[in-house]
Amino acid sequence: MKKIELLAPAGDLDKLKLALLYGADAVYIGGKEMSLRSHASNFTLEDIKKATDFAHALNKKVYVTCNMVMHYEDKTNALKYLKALKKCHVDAIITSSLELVELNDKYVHNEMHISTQLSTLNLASIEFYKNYNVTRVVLGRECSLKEIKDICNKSPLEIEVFIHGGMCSSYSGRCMLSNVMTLRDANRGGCAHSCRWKYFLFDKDKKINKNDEYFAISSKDLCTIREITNLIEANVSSLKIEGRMKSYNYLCAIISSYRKCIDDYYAHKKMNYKEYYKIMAYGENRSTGHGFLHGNVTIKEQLFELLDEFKNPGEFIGIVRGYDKNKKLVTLELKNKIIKGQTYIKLSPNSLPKSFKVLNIIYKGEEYDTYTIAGHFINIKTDETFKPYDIIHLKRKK
Amino acid sequence: MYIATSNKKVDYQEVFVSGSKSITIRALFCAFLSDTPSTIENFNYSEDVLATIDCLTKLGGNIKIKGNTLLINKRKVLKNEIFHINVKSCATLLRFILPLFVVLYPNKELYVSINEDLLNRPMDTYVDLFKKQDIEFKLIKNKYYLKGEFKNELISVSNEISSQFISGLLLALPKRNCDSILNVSLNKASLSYILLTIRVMQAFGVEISSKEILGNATYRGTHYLVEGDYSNASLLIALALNKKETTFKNLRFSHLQGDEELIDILEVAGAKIKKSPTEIKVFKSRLSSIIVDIDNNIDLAPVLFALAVSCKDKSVFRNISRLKYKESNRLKEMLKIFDKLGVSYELDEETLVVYPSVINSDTFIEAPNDHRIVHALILLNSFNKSSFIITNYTSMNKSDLNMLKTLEKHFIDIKYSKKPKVLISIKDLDELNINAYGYVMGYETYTLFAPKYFTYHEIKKAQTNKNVFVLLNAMIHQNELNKFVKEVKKLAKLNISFIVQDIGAVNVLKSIISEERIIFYPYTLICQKGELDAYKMQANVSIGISNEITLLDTYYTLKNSDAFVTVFGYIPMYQSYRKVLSMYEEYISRPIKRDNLLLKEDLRNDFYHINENQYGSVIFRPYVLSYLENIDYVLEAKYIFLDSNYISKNIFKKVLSLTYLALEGKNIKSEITKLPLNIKDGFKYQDSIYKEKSL
Repeated sequence: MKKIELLAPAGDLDKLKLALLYGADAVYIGGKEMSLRSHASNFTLEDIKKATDFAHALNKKVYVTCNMVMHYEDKTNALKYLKALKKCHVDAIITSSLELVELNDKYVHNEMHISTQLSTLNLASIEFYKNYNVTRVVLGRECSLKEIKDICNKSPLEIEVFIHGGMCSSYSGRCMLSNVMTLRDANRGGCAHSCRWKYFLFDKDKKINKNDEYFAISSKDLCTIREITNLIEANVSSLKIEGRMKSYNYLCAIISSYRKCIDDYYAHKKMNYKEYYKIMAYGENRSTGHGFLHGNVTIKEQLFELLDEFKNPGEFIGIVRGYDKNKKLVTLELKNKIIKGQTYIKLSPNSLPKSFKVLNIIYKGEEYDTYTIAGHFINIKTDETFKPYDIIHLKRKK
Repeated sequence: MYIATSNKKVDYQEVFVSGSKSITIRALFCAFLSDTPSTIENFNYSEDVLATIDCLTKLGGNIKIKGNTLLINKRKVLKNEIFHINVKSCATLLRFILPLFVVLYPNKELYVSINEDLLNRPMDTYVDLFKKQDIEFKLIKNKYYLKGEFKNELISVSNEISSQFISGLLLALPKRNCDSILNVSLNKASLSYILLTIRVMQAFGVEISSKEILGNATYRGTHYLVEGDYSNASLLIALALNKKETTFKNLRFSHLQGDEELIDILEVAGAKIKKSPTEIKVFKSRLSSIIVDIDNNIDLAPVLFALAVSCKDKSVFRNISRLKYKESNRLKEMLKIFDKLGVSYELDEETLVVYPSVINSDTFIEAPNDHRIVHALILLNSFNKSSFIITNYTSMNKSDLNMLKTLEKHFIDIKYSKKPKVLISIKDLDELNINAYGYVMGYETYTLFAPKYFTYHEIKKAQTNKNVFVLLNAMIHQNELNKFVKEVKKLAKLNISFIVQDIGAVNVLKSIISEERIIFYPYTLICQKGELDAYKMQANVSIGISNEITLLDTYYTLKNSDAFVTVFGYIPMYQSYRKVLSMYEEYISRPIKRDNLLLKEDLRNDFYHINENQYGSVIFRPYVLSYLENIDYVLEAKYIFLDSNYISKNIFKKVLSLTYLALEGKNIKSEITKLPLNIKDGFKYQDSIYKEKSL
């Protein structure tokens, strides 16, 4: 039985390394051209080459998204870019453009995947895409588990599904809210997330909402940890985590959680959802639901309390950049305030979260009781051992 | 309507130039006034001449067209008290016919209808003159009213603006029953046209030799051969500079027509031209530069400006101020065109300097109602490798209805705009009586949004004598696929076409029916032709393109694509499987009335129509998008779609009638703005921002 692929996002080379170290089998990234997520610090060709070198050394894969809906002005370098990606040995390109697929088929021969931007929801669509040289289709997030099973059983192409992260409220690729309201085209990486704004309903000119009853278009984030075994058994080829703009913290926690879940399944261990959720909680700070997996969404999956959307994200303290075994000194890229004497949690690839105490804080030779400047590389002294890309968290208060 | 013109590859050719419009109109007036029959051969076949024939007929004329000849018999004197004529856009006709009417029908009433573009042409000369003569002359709405008679012998006019006033008086005054003294201050620029009038009158037996014009004169019928028209030939001659050798057969160098001066100007600028009494030969030449006083060559200005763009060196045009009194403000219009095409020039009060420039052809140019400017545009195109699109070109018909044929035969290749089929969405079966090629009908299943969801039986009824397009714009979920296949198999037995949003639906349909009956409309996904073509490789169906692109991108995406485009209506901006209204009802624990629902974002003032059915929810843009005022950009489409969703029946009917006018080439911009709808431009002129640096 071929083990299912866990596919994670990465906004830059460092996050890509982290994602792979924490257990992703493949990572998808955006290049500087034709990619959505304009805020994600997209990869240069040089970075992409470094990414594929790093991934391939671990026997893992790198996919590059070229999923914007191109206008004339976006087309200029398409072929050149496809060729450059080939030279970088990327494992596949995720695209919403059949023109790009054709161009690739004619001249370049990269492996191509159909993006979720095309909202593929049925086998008839997959049969259509089969006529083009593509190997995989990323399904629309509106598919139920039953439909996914049905599609996977009969699909001539590999099927990838989203398992975690942000949800488009609209059918992906069909949403112009951001474009019309802010002149930022979601289909070209400019999404302003207008679906998450506050709305009022009117019956002609009479307001229907009472004061705090904001109308919601927006969806809760997706979390399918409880459906992973079903998805594996449905013959899905790849499980995809959303979020090329997400933080180290998010990636490390979400990937670790799903990794553990998938590995437990294949190792025939009992599923320990409590543990998976516990790991996930270090990275997830938004309300989640199971999306469309049980059929059309209900009020439980819809985000009505907009203001409560973000919980306190301040628990991510930093990412480990180096460790001196002899001096027991950790080099930490600081993200949030750290306090001497306090107990923190270490998140590390392939291991469960572990508590440790910060014994000392040193910056440029000077000792501190607390240190708060995010972005600084500081040293901390502790009895725990560390590796680069370990993540440090503040222990949650109960 | 538009044309795309480009240079035609021809080396040697002979060209017969159709007759001069100026001479034809003058000869027609003289023949009309003659007591014996006349024939006018090689007459200029143009809208202006047809308008002249019509007006003179209404004043008692007897004029027939036979081949390239006009047959004019003796006119009748009519007993009418009131006369109604329409001079359309012909300023010459207007200025010739007013004094003639006063002479022929003293104290009778004349109403002259004119096209809007004539309203701005100065009439002060006659206003002053008629006032002095106690003749009633006024503009009532878009009609001139005239009544009275010349009372004095002395007729004084100034001629600072146009020679046509003098020519009009010259033609009319000999028919007075007394002598007149025409007191005019002539300027050199108009002299050639006045001499032309005198020469044509001479051919009909009326001599003008001094300011004193003898009354009771007799125009005598004659056979008049109209010589080739230099105003049209000016374009042909200019185009011939790009051909190896062109012989113009019936173009004489007679000094009758002002535009003849073009030959001299071109020769000075370096053109190789051979003149003989019966023909003119033009050889391929690259001009060095054009340096002229435009005041003497006002009608030639547009063509000369256009030629200047491809000269070797900069060209200088002096005394340009009088250009603004022509059919259009020619200077302003030409500079607007230069700006759009990227031509470099310098302008001061009296002088225009034009530099040799490579033009940007990737554009549409809307010509003003001035055939001389259309000539200039054609010229600019033929000296360039790629061509821009010329819209509103039909003003050429004003001076010669055969001009395009002549041009096509000898000088340029022309690509004409196509005419798309008009589809409308309907709200009830009665609307099948509205004139359209096809009727888009929502259906009781698999329609996410439409003005109305019709039953199978209603669609069956509609398709018996109409082209029905069933709109199945729901996304097809896997658990619905089998049911969907069954439903479309049932529908496909009817004589209908399908508009679908899901590519899977296309795949299902194309195994059941011919691709000709399928329109794939994914709303937002097709923003350029490469993408459209990639879909067509596997499904040769008509494809609906996005409304999120500029007009120019729309044109290029539609070109040779047999595509579909929404040109009017509320455009969806959010389509979701989730039932946002039902969930909200559950959230607030009370039902919502769904009929007139609008959504408003907290910080914005716009209202968005919102709708939900069993296939999900849709939110629409807060305004109506209209391409009707820019119809030229969508003429390449196979289908243009007008969506009546959320628009009242009466307004929609008005919109549709404007659509047909626009398709005929009429300018409907002002009518569109008068509609009681919130119409906005969307992305027609401005593509959206998406790059991080632009945010």
